Amino acid sequence: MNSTPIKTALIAIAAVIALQLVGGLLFMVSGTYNIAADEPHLKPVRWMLQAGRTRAIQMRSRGLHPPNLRDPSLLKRGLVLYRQNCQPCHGGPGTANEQIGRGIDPKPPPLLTASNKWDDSELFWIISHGLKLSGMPGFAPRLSETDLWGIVAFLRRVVLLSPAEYKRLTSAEDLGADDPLLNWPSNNDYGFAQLKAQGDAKRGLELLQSYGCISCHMVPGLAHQRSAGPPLTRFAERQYIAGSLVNVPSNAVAWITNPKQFKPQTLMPNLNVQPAEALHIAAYLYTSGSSDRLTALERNLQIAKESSTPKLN
Amino acid sequence: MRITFCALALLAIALSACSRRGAIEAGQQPTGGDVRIGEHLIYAYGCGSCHVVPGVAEANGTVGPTLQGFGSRYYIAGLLVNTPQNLFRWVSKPQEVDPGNAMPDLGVTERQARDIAAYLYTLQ
Ligand code: HEC
Ligand code: HEC
Ligand code: HEC
Repeated sequence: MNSTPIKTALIAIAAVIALQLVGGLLFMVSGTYNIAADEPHLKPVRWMLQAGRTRAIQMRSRGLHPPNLRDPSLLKRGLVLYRQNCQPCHGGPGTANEQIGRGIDPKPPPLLTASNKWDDSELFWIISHGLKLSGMPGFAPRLSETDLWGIVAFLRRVVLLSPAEYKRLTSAEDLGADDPLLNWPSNNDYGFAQLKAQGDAKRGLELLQSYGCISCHMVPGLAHQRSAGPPLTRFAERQYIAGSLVNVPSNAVAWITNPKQFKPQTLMPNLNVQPAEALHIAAYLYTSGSSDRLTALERNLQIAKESSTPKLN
Repeated sequence: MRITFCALALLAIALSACSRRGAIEAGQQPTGGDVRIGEHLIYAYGCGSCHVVPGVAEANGTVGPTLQGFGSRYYIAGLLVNTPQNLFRWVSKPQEVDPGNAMPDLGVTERQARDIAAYLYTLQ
C-alpha cells in the first residue's frame, strides 16, 4: 500500500502539533512569561495584540453617521467628559496622566497623535467599546451617544490647542459656549494654503544652509556640524514647536522668523529670516517624516466649514 | 584569507563592545546613575509616548523632540546648558524650568533622574 508514507507524514504532523500545544501550555503554566506591566511586551506579543485591530475597527465602525461636530455645545460637553474620563489615563497637552494611567501596559498614548489615524466613526467606536487586551475601557454603557460624539469633537479640536490654552480650558470653572477655544476657527487655516501655494522646499534647503541653521540643528539631507538644538528630522510629525506652540505652518514660520516673541529666554537666536524665506524653510522641513499628522490637521479644519469631517482616503 | 577575516570579525566585535562600554561610561560617570535602571525607568514612566528614545521599547512618540543623539546636545529645551545637574532638574521638574510647556511634571525623583540622565548620555 502506498498510503503508508502519507500516514506516517500525518502522524508526524499531528505529533508536532501536539508537542507544540503541550509546549505552549507548559510555557503558559510555567510562569516564564513576564506579565509585569512595568516591563515591555515581547515584540511578537505586542505585534499579536495590534494585528488585525485596525481592520476590525474599520469594519465595525462602518455605517455610523457623525453629527455636526462644529456645534460648540458638543465641544464643551466633550471637553468636560474628556477631563473627567480620559485625562486620568491619556493626559492632555502639558498635563500628566494620573497614577491610574501610569502603570498600564500597553501604555495609554497621548491622544494628540494617536487620534490622527482614525476617522470620526472609528474614534466613536473605540471610545464606545474599548479595546480588548489593553487598559482601554468602553464607555458606551454609561455615556449617551451625544456625549460620545462630543468627545470625538473635542479630540479633533484639542490637537490645535497649545498647553497653555488647554490649561485655561480645563481649569476654568464655567466656560461660556462662545469661548473662542470651544469654537472652530472659521477664518484661520493655520497657514496651510499659503504653504501650499508659495512654499518652495528646494529654496528652503538652500536657505537652511545659508542661514547656518545646520550649525545648531541636524537637518535631513544636510551634513550637520553640532547639535545645539533638537534635530529637525521627522519635523512633520512633531506635535509642538519648542514645547509650546502647536506645529502648524503659520507657527513654524513665526518661530523661524522670531523665536523670542514666543519664548524670550530661548537660546535659539533671531536670525532675521524673512517670513517669505521662513515659508520655504518650513516647506522643506515638512517633507521630512510621515505627513499623516498634517493631513489629519487639515482635515480637522474642514469641520469649521462643513458639517462633519470628510472620510479618510 | 580566512584568518584575516576572523581577525577582522573579532576586531569588529571588540570595537563595538568597547564603544558600547564607552557609551555606558559616558552615561555613568558624570551622573553617578545606573544606565540599566535608567532604561527601565524611561520605559516605565512612558517617556517614549512623547519622545523617540533609541534603544527603549516602543519609544517612538512625536509630542516632544527626538532624544536621538541627546548625549552630544548643547542645550536642554532651548533654555539650559546640557550639564548633568541641569538635566536632573529638567527631567524631574520641567514645568519649573519652562512653565506651560507640553512636558508635564511626571513625579520623577532626584535619584531616578540620575539614572534616567545616565541612560540619556549614552545616546551619542
Ligand atoms: C483606564 C485607562 C484609560 C482610560 C480611562 C481611557 N483610556 Fe483610551 N486607552 C487606554 C490604553 C491603555 C490604550 C492603548 C491601547 C493599546 O495601544 O493597545 C488606549 C487607547 C485609546 C485609543 C486608541 C489610540 C491608538 O493608538 O490608536 C483612543 C482613541 C482612546 N484610547 C481614547 C480614549 C478616550 C476618548 C477616553 C475617554 C473617554 C479614554 N481613551 C479613556 C487607556 C485608557
Ligand atoms: C545658535 C543655535 C541655533 C541656530 C543657529 C538655529 N537654531 Fe533653531 N533652535 C535652537 C535651539 C536651542 C532650539 C530649541 C528652542 C527651544 O526649545 O526653546 C531651536 C529650535 C528650533 C525649532 C523648533 C524645533 C522643535 O522641535 O521644537 C525649529 C523649527 C528651528 N529651531 C529652526 C531653525 C532654523 C530654520 C534655523 C536657521 C534659520 C535655526 N533654527 C537656527 C538653536 C538654533
Ligand atoms: C506628554 C509628553 C512628554 C512626556 C511624557 C515626556 N516629555 Fe520630555 N519633552 C516633551 C516636550 C514637549 C519637550 C520640549 C520642551 C521644550 O522645548 O520646552 C520635551 C523635552 C525633553 C528634553 C529636552 C530635549 C531637548 O532636545 O532639548 C528631555 C531630555 C526630555 N524631554 C526627557 C524626557 C524624559 C526622560 C521623560 C520621561 C521621564 C519625558 N521627557 C517625558 C514632552 C514630553
